[in-house]
Amino acid sequence: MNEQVVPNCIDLAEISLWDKALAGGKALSLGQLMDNGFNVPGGFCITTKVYYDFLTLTGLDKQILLELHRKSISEMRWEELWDASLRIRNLFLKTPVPPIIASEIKKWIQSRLGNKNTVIRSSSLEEDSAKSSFAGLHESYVNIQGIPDILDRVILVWASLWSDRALLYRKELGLDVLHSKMAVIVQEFIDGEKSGVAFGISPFHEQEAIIECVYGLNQGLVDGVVAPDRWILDRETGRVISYTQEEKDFIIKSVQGGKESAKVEKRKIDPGAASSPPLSGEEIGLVFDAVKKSGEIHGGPQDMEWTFASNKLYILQSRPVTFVDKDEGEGKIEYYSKKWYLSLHKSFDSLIELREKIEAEIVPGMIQEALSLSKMDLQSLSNKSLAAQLIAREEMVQKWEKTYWDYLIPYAHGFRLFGEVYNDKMKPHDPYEFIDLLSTGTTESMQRNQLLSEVSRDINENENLKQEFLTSGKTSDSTMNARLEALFKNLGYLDIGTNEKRKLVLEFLGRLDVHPGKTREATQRSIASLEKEFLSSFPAESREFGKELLDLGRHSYKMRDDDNIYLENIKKERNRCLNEILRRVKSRLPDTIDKELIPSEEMVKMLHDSKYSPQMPKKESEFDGGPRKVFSRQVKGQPACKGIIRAKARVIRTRDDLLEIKPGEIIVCDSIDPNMTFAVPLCSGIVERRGGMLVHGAIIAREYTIPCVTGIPGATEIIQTGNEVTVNGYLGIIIIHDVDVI
Amino acid sequence: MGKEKRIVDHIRTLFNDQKLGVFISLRKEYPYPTLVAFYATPDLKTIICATSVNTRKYENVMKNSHVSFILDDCKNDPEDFSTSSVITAFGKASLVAEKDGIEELVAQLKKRHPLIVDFFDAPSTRFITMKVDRYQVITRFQDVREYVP
Repeated sequence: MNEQVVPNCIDLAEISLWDKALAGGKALSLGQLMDNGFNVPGGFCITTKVYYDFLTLTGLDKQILLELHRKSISEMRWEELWDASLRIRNLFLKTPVPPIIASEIKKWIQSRLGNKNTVIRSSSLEEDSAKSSFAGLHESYVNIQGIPDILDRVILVWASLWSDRALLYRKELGLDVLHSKMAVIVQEFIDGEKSGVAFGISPFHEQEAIIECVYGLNQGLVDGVVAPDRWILDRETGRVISYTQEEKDFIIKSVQGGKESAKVEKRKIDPGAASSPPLSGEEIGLVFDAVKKSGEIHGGPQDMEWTFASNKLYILQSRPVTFVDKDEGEGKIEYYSKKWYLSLHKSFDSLIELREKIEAEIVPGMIQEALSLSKMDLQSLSNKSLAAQLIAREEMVQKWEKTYWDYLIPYAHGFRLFGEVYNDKMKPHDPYEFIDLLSTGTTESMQRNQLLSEVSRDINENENLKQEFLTSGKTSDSTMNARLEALFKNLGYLDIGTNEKRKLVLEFLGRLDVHPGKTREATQRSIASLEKEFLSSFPAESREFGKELLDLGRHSYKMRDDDNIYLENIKKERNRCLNEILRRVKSRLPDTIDKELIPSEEMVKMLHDSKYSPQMPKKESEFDGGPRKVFSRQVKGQPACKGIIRAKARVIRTRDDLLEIKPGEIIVCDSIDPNMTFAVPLCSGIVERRGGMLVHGAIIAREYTIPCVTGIPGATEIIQTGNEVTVNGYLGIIIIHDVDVI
Repeated sequence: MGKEKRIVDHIRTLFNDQKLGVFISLRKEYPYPTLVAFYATPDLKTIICATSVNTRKYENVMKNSHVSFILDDCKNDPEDFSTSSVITAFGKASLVAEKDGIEELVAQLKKRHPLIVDFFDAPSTRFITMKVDRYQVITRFQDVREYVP
């Protein structure tokens, strides 16, 4: 095609097969539906040419390349991808649309849609093909009015090509990330009274089709906030085979001047509607005919979104069905191949629901579980009962770990959602500025560190008490004894059972007293002004939403740390069981075995069979065997807390290594969790293998204003304890000084 | 055009076209090469690049100011023997902790490398200015000329 005739925008009604590379799968599908007489809301498509022009005219293409080349995408964990995605999104937000592009889009909005409210949808090139659906991966914005707001949303849809979910999906499908392109659909918004999805083929029975419907708009159904009524139909005839009515509490409706992040909101449903099916028999027939005909046009069964407004059926989008996860869910229909990372994208309402569940059920449940386990006297159990207890406790740990992944990990999206809104509103130079607003220093781990600091100060002031403790494991001061016991309990992660371990902790407290670390209280004032500026950016009528969002962000940020502590308290009880078994079988274990690494099932076998020798798992190394010939001397990771420090490294491989840390050393570890962060006040820098700005190492480093670099592959293998290391938290670089070949 | 002007123009063109070059400092008895983003002044008397503190080249320059800087335009094909050139600048380098006195040079460096402005602006970054004593220009594989700027 001659470049001079490549269009910037195309009317949806005029899109043909030839335009697929310009308009993307979704826009092409709508064009074909219009061509075949379907009632599709009018609008136009901003082609991939405009996206390309935007990137090249502003230089964003090169900046994205630089961002994604920090590390190979195939090596990035999702948290690192999320970070890259956040930075790229911020680049889009900060980059003004060149006037030549803005005026072209304005012209099309005015001529095709006038003052109508609009929907802005993604239409990337790979989207909605028969092999990949991209459903729910890119952004869509509903009920947007006015040219400036529409333009802002177009940019956000472009940016969503680089969302964490989209990057992960492309990575999984092996698609070319760097050359992805995005077209955008700008369409009239239809304020539907009832809406839904229709599937031309059921994931469970090839002879069946499915229709789901909710009152109001589709967003509640798509986000999983509102449960739909469901009809199973004969795929050939459309005969209704079954109908399932769901309890209807809420409805998603459009609002004018509503919450900043969305122009729709969740409302209580009218009592009359709650008990009646949203679709009549005739309407079910209309939807079924539409999805069947769309399948014929597109050459395969379709997954179609639709809405009824003023008794008229509108088709909103149609894409090939790309399920099926037949094995997932008992009796529950999973329509898309629901990958775990889709759960990372949660709307405000569903996060609030999640918070309620976490506060009312999950956290109290975890605390109670650990408490009741702690009351059991394990020493009095027979070998058989102890083995049974270990199996039961392993199952409990697995159960709570599943809860952690199913509920607590997705809940972390609360502060990510806050970060996105903050960046949208404030357009800060530093895309992580929002973290300052979330960090209130009230996490369980920070409170534990406070206790640690106070006890270390007090016991180190009194040399007599200290000596008494070192001699007998107790002091003559009952209050101090109680405080020390409370402290040991808080440091449960270390399995402090013996006097020997207690003495090690006391020595650690001595070093901590000399070097108590510095938290970032000095910045509290600037946090208050940031908060004020953030809330002021909301119009008066939606400022309350800004406060709710900040509150959600703070709670989610705190929970990100606290949930690890609660989970560890349960694991600690499992470990107590393991320690009791170890005590009983210790004499049968060779000294060379790392007892922390013996699997539970091997422990059980040892209890049952007095001659059994445990099988140890093989440890995998980043390096091949034999003498080392390759040495890392400078490695680029991710800057996670600003500052630069050159000091000796302390590599953390086991829990007890934490007690060995000397003041001013740099902690080098695979990954820090909040149970380990009691040692952070002593250190001068942190290097972590796990990458990301929001991993625990990065969070605690910011609390103590310690230079931190994350995402250093094989950190604990390329650095040895005692190496002199520079941690450059400005640039995300570590330098190992005493590895010098020349 | 005189021979001298042709050589000067050739150096200037290559230093203008290439964005990255090899900066060579001395570490013990070995040359120590590193890839850097640079800017050369139009009179070819000064080259500026940047480094983070505590890097090897930072330490090397602190100990020994004698450095060199290499650019080439090889295309990795047989024509290289006749058409490509390799230019080496020799001189003395100094580390500048602050931007005092080199604001214009830093501004030009940033203008030339807008994608890594954050690196230039980082508090841990130091600028290396190299005063060039002479250039060595190798063309047609074995023609070697020198130029004193």
